[in-house]
Amino acid sequence: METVNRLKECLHSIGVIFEEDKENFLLSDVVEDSLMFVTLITEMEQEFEIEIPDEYIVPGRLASFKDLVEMVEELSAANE
Amino acid sequence: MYKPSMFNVVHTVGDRVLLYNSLTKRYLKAVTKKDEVLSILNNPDSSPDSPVIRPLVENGFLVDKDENETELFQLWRNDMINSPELMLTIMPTEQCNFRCVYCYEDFKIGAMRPETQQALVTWLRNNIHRYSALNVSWFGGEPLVEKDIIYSLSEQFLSICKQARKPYTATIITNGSLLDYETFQKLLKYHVTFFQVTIDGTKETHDKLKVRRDGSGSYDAVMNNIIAIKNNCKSGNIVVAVRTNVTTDVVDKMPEHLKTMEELFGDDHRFSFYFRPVGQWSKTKEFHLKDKLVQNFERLYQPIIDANIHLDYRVYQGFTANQICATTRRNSYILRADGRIVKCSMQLDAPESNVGFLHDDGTMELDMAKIAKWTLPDTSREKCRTCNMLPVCLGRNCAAKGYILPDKVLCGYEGMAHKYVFQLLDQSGVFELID
Repeated sequence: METVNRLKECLHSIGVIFEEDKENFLLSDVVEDSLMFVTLITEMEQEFEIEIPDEYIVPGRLASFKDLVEMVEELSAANE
Repeated sequence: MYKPSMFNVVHTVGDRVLLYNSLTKRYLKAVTKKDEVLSILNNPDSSPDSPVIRPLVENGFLVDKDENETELFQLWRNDMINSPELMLTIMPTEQCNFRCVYCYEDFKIGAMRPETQQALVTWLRNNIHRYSALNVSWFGGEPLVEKDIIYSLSEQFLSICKQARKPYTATIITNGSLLDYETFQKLLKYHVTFFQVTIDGTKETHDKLKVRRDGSGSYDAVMNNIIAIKNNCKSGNIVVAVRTNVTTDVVDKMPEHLKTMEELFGDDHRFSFYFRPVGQWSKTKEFHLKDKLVQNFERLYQPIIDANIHLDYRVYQGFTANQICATTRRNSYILRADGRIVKCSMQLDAPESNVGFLHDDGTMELDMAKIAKWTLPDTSREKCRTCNMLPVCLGRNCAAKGYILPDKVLCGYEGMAHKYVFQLLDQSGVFELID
């Protein structure tokens, strides 16, 4: 739950608008352009102190909010 | 039903045809059906049931017979020039620790005063609501000579953007000598994700062109820094664009240079390479490379193409998509270290380029009549109006040159060399095979 809330805050901080009560949504519906996407990746790396490798930043890999949650949890666990 | 787009760029290279549409920015290639594709692009009704019709339509190479592409282009152009994204090029200093042989800058101005820095922060805080996002490009001189200014301003920009809920990205153009790993990590923290550094060929050629102020070479320092980035940074969210400024000496050593780059960075797509011919970029300083200039693009590019090595050239996609200098954008400004606001980094002192001033009280004074001259596209030249690369340059690749040479057709490097650049992009896997 904490990861979910922190990720939602990352999205908020860069101006992404989404429905708060939705558990999942497509990123293509809310992330407007590549500039916003790059900023989002940077925000997540800073917030969770992770480095997101190339293989995650390919088209289609991070399609939904749940994909973001999963990725962050995976990379955070690998850091511990 | 369909007609070929007026913005198709077609090159037949050996056994394949490379297609690029300068409006949709899509890249396709055909090998086994090369002749069929060429026939269809000439006359879409020649093979109406061909399986290649669909990808050609989906990627904008064939358009509806009634489509008015000129209107589409104008719409796209207006959106691009008037983009609500604020693009600031900031010079925290105009001093540099190098004295590159071809440099056009005069290094008269030092570090940005604290008052100017504060004025910038105040102005941004008061005006961020007008824009959809902020992109900052750190420039100089050598911007890392005053890295504390970069850190301080970045901290405040991030805070302002977070409060205003606006995306913030940053890039840096650096000679790389001060980009040690600790500095790199700090820049990452401050949202710098695009780093342009320069390696002018082998150590032998680089150290003759990119000399430090004391005359010593810089190759080892720069290489050590970018190798440290490669070995220590695991983030895929960075691009290190390695530029090589090419003279005849650099061409002669190109195979050796490429081999070194391939050995070190060939397996890492975050490092992308591009090449530019050295020109007489300063109109006032003495120029000692006149007999070392590469006279044509074939001489520059063919050795690179023929080497066919495993290097990433995808940074060129940025240039083939857009050869329009940022000066042409309405919301793009360069802030000099002394508070002057200019439009063109190559014409820092030209009266036409000086479009405003950032006052210490945080107000920005702008001369809108001057700005209009930089931002209005120019399709007065007949050759430009019918050119298939028009969306790439808007008929004014270099707005500054447009002032000096108003009748000259200005195509930009990649506009003139796309035959070669497309081959490098093909080697990098950019072209999608449609057969």
